[in-house]
Amino acid sequence: MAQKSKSRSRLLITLVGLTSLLSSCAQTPSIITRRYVGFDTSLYFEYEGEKEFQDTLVSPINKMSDLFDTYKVIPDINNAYLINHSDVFVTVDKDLFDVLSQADGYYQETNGLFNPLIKDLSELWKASLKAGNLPSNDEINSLLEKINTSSLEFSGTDKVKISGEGQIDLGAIAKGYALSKIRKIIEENKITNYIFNAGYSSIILGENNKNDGIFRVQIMREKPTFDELYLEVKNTSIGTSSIYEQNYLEKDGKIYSHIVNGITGSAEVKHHMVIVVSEDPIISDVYSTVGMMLSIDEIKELEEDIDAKFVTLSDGKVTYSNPSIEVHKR
Amino acid sequence: MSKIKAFFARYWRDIIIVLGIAVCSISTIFIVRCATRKEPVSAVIYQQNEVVLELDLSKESNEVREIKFPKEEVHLVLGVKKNAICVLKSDCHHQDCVNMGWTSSPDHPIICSHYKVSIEIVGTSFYDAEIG
Repeated sequence: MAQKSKSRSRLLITLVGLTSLLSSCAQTPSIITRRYVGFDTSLYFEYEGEKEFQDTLVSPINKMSDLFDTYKVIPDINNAYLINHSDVFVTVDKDLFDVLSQADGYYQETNGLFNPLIKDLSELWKASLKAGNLPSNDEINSLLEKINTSSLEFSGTDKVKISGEGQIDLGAIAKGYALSKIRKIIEENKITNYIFNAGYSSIILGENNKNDGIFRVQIMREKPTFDELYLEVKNTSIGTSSIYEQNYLEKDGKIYSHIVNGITGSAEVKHHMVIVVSEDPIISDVYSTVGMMLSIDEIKELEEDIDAKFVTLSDGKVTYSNPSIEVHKR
Repeated sequence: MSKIKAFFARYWRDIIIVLGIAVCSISTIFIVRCATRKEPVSAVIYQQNEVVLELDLSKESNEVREIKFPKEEVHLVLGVKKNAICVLKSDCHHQDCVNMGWTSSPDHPIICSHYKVSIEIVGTSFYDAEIG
């Protein structure tokens, strides 16, 4: 009788254990997702963690979006617009000072191909492409001369001014810089499962909470006839530049887009899309833009010097892919 | 071997009960998960990061229905039809939201940066993100 009772107890314990196991399997992890507008684009993030943490991510993005704005005055904020319209040193927030310092560093590193003072020339190209024209050489050279005789000047740790008539354009670095800050916050809070997508052109990824930690990232198909391509990645960042982001023009076998070469002033690009995978979101952002102006051979050379793996596409086909990156087809 | 046989002979009722409960638990989890899975037919419309409208697009007909944006200061007219949504009209200068056309996919939200409006389709996707 005692033995039977003991066996029943064992069975009961097994039953309780099994129930607990099943309950734990049924528990859905706390996945928080949010989509909102910042940097004049759609921002989307998803992470596994506390719901309240989302405000910790939204707040710095909103702040940087205002700081890096080159198009309008933001009350009580000394932003990039203010620097563009000032002849004297402007005292700025640490993030604006840092992003401008880094932009100046990439200007040196790329020998002027990436130029953070290219706004007027970039605007000229955008307006011309929207109207379906190319700007004249005189217009380009006039602005290029102003830009080439301009520079960013820094004083101390919080003062910046533009020497010359160039105007700040942070379009190729702002989101990458913001994501580098966001990733730091995420890591400080010990969150490992996350994705933060800043307007389809800049993404940081931790580990997926499914699929063995891997994220499937689709490469946007601009035409229904293009192949459906995707990357499988985790714990990295991705930056993309594409002619499809804004207006572009094909003329005499050349393609002109919104991406302007800081050396020649031309907006001729060599690829329809460039994807850069790098540990550093700033590198991903800056070099996806720079890569649009480089040939595949130049990209291969560049890959030897920096922490960046490139994929280039034209007409929906992969024209080059770093050997360590596999582009999957669905 | 005889011990195992004797165990099953003695406790077959208990074993059936345990297995029965296990099967019921697994079935319940499966049914609940299937029932709560959202199909990509709902749209959530955000403005200034707040939800302003939720629409069950599966209940729409194939005829396009116009919906005036529920906030007066936002001059958008949405278009809805079965399982799809778009921005039909906007007075924003770039018209990107209008040009994005119809969407039915969680991978393709519609954004109007002028009014800070995003229109998101709720559902599951093979992909976790999109770049381009």
